[in-house]
Amino acid sequence: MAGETWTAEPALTSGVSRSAFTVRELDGVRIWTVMARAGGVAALAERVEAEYGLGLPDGPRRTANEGAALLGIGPGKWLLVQPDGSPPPAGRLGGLAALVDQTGGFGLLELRGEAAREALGRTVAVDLAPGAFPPGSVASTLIEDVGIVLAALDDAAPAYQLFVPRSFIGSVGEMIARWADAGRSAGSG
Amino acid sequence: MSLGINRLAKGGLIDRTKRIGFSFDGRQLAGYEGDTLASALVANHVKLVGRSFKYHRPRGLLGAGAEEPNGLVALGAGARTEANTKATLVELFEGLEATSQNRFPSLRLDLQAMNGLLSPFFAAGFYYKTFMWPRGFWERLYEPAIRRAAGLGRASTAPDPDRYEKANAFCDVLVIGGGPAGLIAAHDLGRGGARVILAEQDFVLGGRLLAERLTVGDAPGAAWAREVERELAAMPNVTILRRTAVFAAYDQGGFAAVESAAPDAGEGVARQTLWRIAARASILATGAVERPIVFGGNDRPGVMLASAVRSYVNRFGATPGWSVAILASSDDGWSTAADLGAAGVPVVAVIDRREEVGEAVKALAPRGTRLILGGEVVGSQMRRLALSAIDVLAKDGTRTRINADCLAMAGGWTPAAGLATHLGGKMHWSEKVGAPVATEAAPGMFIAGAAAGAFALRAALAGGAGAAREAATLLGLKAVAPEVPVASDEFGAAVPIRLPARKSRGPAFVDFQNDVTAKDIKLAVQEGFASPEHLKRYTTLGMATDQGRTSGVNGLALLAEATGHAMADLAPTTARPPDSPVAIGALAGPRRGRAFRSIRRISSHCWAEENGAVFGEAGLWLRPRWYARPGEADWLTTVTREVNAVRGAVGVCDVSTLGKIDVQGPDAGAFLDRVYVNTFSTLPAGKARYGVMLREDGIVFDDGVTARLGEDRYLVSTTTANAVRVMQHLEYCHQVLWPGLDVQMTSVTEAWGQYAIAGPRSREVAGALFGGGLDVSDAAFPALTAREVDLDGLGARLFRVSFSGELAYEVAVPANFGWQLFERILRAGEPFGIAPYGTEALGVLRIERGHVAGNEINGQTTAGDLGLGRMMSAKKDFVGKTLAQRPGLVAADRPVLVGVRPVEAQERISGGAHFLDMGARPSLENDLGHVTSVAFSPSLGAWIGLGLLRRGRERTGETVRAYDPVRGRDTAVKVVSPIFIPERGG
Repeated sequence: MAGETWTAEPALTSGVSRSAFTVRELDGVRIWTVMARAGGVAALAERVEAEYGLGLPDGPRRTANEGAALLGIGPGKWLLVQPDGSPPPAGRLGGLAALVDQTGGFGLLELRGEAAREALGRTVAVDLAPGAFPPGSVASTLIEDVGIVLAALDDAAPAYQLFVPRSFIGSVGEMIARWADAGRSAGSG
Repeated sequence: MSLGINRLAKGGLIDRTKRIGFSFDGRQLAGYEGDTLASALVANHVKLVGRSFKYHRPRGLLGAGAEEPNGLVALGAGARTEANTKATLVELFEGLEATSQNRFPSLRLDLQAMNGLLSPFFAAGFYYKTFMWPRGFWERLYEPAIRRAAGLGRASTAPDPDRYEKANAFCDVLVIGGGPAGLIAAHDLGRGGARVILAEQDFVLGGRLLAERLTVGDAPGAAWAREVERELAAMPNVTILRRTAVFAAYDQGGFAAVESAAPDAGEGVARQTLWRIAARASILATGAVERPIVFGGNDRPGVMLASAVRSYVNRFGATPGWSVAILASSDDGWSTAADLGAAGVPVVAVIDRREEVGEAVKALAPRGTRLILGGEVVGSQMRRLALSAIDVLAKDGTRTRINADCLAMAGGWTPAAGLATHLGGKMHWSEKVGAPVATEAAPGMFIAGAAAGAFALRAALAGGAGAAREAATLLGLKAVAPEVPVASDEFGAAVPIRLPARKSRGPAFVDFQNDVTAKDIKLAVQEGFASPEHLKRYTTLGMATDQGRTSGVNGLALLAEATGHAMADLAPTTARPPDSPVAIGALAGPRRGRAFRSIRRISSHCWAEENGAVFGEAGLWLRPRWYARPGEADWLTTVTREVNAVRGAVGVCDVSTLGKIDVQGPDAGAFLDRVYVNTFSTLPAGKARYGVMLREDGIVFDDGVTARLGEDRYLVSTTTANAVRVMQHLEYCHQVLWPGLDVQMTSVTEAWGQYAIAGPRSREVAGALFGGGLDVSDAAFPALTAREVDLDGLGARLFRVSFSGELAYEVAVPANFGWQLFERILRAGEPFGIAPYGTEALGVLRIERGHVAGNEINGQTTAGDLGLGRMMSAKKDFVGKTLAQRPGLVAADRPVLVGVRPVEAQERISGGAHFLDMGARPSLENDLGHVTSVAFSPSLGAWIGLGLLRRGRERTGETVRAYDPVRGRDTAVKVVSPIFIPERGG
């Protein structure tokens, strides 16, 4: 098989185009789990600041710049998202954290639009009102029965990133299609 | 089609320009927009709406709202049939089909009505006493007969074609109820900027304001409600949920509610939405329910709550009768006379038990109305299954029969505050209110208006405003100075409970829905069921779907009288969720059928689908069980071919579903030593080892091959079924047992696509796959090697591990390249006859090799039982070590893993068959264990099995029975080593 090349496969195989909001799968990014060594959060934060110019979130928050995004998903545990091709974290954070490449493990979906807030807000047990879940907020939560990481982006218009376990993406796609078809189901307010 | 002979010429909140056709029991009728099914039936002079549950007595509407116990109908037809719907809550829509229930063959002629004639025998406790003897009759005779007669309404057996949804909502304050108190509370809070959800069960806001001729400020009540609603709708921080019943209160401000779609909402809209509402505070403004009066014959169609009569007349412009009598026990009842008079409906009499009534109150009755003070109604007459007359006992003892087609009962009001007790709060009798009130609501819940016993409109509005102020203070929100409008403060007085007159004739009903009479309560007390909770269970009082809304307090009063207690001494029974009935469909929501649970798909799923795969569920995963080829007659043929491919050439299997946990850190080896029975800290980097974990109690938890990828890095693999549980276990061990260890872990199950390439030609396939870029020879890549490798520029992992006993490799790439790897393996393996194989072949291969799996690691077996005892390290401690030494777990006669083969080679063995000594009687005492796994072994040409047999290892070579009474098999089997075929290259 020598000489053959590889192409990253999208997780979401069926499009969700009829929606009142846009759904797109982000490609061209790589995702790591970053876990601080015992007692090493402060040192890691310092290194992250130096290497990435980013503050290491100390809770369920997202910090991001053009080169990377960091999402707090648990005590001493983050997701690091970088554009494909940028220097991997092993050389930058090595020694201070356990790094695990999870690029293949997630379908990374981006939902945009006022209707996205409404549809997601009805589905997740997290208050997505602007004041309650402002841009930069992160939640490890469920959509229906699927555990995801949800992040509100730093945009004026509602926009969310969903880190969906890859094997579940078909089911999640069906859910999103269902919300999109339904719009508001019966709500009269 | 009738337009309704009981429809008043004018008035009501209905749109007389919008006519709506519907049918009831096949009769074509019409109503107007704004009608409920009940009001349209009233307008059409339909008096008889159902048969009672137990005695099949003819019943009409008692109420006009959620309290209705009689008017339960089936809506729709076929798959959409919705049984037991309260006609009073159904918004009329074009084409609605409603059918009465609990009658056969028809509502007017119901054969089971003879139960009524036998009612002396059907009193409380009848079933308990009657069907005791002879015992053998119960299952054959009594129970089937009772079951045929039991139940209310019939659900459709066809799948429900409608959509149901679930939704979450968050707010500062949830206001439950859109009557005057709820409206003013929502308005005050909304103006202050609070996030408010106002939930109202009705399709119109206003509550009793819609049904009474009361004014707020200088506007009619309904107009005021409309104006408040308009202002609320304009507030972006306020959400109004109409047609929404809040049915349960939970801890920390959680509420459950069901929203029904408008009848004209159209296709595709969810018929019901189940809301989970998280509120920082709540205001319970759920109003009150009027009580019926208990007297003989009080259940005749046409005997109705006075408040319901006012609802039908004032809100719907329909009168329940043309000669209406009123039975009052307070001033409040007299307002009914005034409203009927204003609507031009003749009032034939007002009977009030009180001997003294103020002149202003008397003046409420239309001129010429017969007034009987100090009187009682002691019986009723029926003609053509509807009320025709009432018998009145005057205070001087004279009896009079008064012709009336409707009797309005005003027995006083009971706060409808059931939600306040869902979190354990209690109701206590209040003399001031004349009913039980909730004295301690749930944290953050404020009760307002009639729900708090403030029955007069002015007090209800003030209570709503007060509750809003308290909620705002609690939440630190801006309080808006309330503007409580001027309103009536009449009719707020407590009403004493009226007991049935002693000279009353005929059954006097207390609970209309469950057919409990005053006599039943007396009887229960005589028989010793004298506390409210016992009374409830013995008589079923208040246990129907109306949750005793109209019956609870009257029942307590009768109990108080019978036992000589004061009302204050009797604790009302506890209201529990759901406060109102909820359809199962709403609770299931969209998750039904195939969507019941989400599906996890492997990366080769699409290919498998196109190549004959039959899928099986492994947890949420869909895994191919086998890949049928054209011409293969049955699954056994296919599975045998797949097994033969692995044993004879090469096969490939998607094993991505196995759990994978990345464990890193300086203490990773020490950590794994503590969770596995065997040692991993000594495993060299680049090698893998089979490991077994125990539970704390010493029973085997899980097994798998764990690799050391680097000095400080391990890759733990788990079974598919236990992937999540092992992850939870490891996190628990780290976070709770040994937080001092410097170890980090995360699940990478999803991150890798992994395939087993197994069979004598697997080395050639691996070689072709890596194209010479990697030496996969036995010397360079011996058994149990585990390495991170380069595969055409992609970071991959290659393992020499075998589950089948054959030479085998497992190769993994990031899951977003997983499908391409599978496809490359197939191409690389094509010259060698590679065949994809599924979980069934995988099972056969492992049974032939005596590998244990979930059937053997069944939560009851120890490492010793499974032949893995020697793996348990004596040199270190590990989870489960101590308890694994318990006497029962090391007993010599425990069932242990063995192999079994039928003595007659062509015979089959059953999985689950029990082992018995030859000739032993099948019994629990003689049971020696059971067959755990069976397979047809193509390699041996016979059925083989694994099993757990008492003292099994000592019995190798002996013959025992494998007894399976379920399938009717009784096979003599020989006990053999569980390893049926030798290791060939690993």
